[in-house]
Amino acid sequence: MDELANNNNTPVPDISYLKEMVGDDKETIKEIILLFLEQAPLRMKSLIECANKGDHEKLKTISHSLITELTTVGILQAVNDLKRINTASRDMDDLNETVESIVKAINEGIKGLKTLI
Amino acid sequence: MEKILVIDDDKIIRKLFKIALVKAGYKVIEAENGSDGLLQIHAERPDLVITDYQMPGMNGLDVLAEVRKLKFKVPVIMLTGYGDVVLTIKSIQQGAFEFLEKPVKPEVLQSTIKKALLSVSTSKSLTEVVSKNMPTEGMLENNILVGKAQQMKEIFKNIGLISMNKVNVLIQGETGTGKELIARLIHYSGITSDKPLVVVNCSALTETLLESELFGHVKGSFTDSIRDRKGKFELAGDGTIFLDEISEISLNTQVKLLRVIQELEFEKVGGEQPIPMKARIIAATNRNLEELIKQGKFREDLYYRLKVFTINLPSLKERKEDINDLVIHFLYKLNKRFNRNVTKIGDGVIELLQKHDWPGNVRELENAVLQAIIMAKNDVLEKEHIILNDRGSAEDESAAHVNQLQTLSFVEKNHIKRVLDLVGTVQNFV
Repeated sequence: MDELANNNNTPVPDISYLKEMVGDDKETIKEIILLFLEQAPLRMKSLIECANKGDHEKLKTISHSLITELTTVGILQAVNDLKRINTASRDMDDLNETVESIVKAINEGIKGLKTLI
Repeated sequence: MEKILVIDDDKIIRKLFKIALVKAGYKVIEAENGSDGLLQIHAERPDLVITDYQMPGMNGLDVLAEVRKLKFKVPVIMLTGYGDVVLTIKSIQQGAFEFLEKPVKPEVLQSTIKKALLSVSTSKSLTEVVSKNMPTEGMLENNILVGKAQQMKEIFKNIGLISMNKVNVLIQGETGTGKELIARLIHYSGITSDKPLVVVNCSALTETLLESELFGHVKGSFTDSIRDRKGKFELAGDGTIFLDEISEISLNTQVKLLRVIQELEFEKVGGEQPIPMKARIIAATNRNLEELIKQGKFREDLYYRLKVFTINLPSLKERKEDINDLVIHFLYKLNKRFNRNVTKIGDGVIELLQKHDWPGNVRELENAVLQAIIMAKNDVLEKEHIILNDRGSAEDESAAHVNQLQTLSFVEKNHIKRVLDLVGTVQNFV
């Protein structure tokens, strides 16, 4: 996440990848961010449910999608944890803590994204 | 405008790709799963398919398998998730044009798309050089039959003559020129065709073992000889015995071989009973026997007994006009063996090959074609897939790409492909 903060001290996600892909057009960027904001709550809910159930396979599937989505909208803090889930063996000692940290980072990122649209 | 189908269950990714690709000038159609994707492929006939691997229901590999069954050719770029090494390998095994790890860098995406589309247009612009009606299997085994060079024509004429007589033949030529193939051709094209052909590599055995191998041995003639054993001369009967790398046999064995040729009989090691020798001897060497005679390493009398008729095989460097035909021949042969379908030769490939000196001769050319076939992304043998041995390409700057620094991912990708090539049974690898 960008170290720079907006007026409310909310970190602003680094959307440089998104800009590289679609260009500088604000409307297009807004469209993608809105799509993410629309899907994010469901993704987080699924992450938590899978972690609670210990459903590692489904967690992997969700993290697979989320890695690209979060990179796209610049919530990079959660990406490394997701990569760890994606490649880790079934028994991750700190699975629940990791998911908690991911969800926290996404929520923070969402706040920042909202300042961009 | 080229049409690209993006198959991904993730709406954001589809949207992202669509915007990026439309901006780059492509027409984009979308599908949110594999089955829908296949319907779109049939209905829309896209020029390129980009598909995610991980999708509910039909995954990317399933889509790829279906696309490969189509009569029209569509390159498929597979998108894989972080760390999907196994899928990467599987994708390439099953014929994906390229695999890209998500999130894909825009410049990588664009350049891969360009390459994939170019491969299709290159393929369309070229005619097939490998037809379904190539020579029969028997002919194919004889790589050496491919040759329009004058030296080869003369050799074929001579084979026509000597194959009808059981004279001893000495074949001389550099490594990889096809000496054994010539021996086989002599054997199978004349009066010995229905008789045994026995091949002995003289350099592979020690003196004692070679003698036992050639003449056989009787039980108890040496330690561990627990029963009588027939030698190669006996097994050859009235067919042909091919003595490869004849220059490597010891002077002692040379004396024994000379006696066999003179007396037309031999005894097993440890035996006393003479056995008649009826076989024709074809000997081969990649060394200068006359030079070895001067050095006292090869018997002159044996040399003259062996070279009743001599065939000097030209190096590939001396018959570069045959390279085109040889490549076509190898494409046909290797496609069949490795289940590939590379039927076209890209621009500049033959010129590149003709600039090389081929120190390893026809065998080296066959290996180069094999490598290129394995690396080929579609049905075209491309210049970029030709990897030449530095020893033979000093004068060829265009082949110098092999020495340029490559990106780590390029090296890694090539390494995976080469490993797959080496393990052979790629389909069972995962």
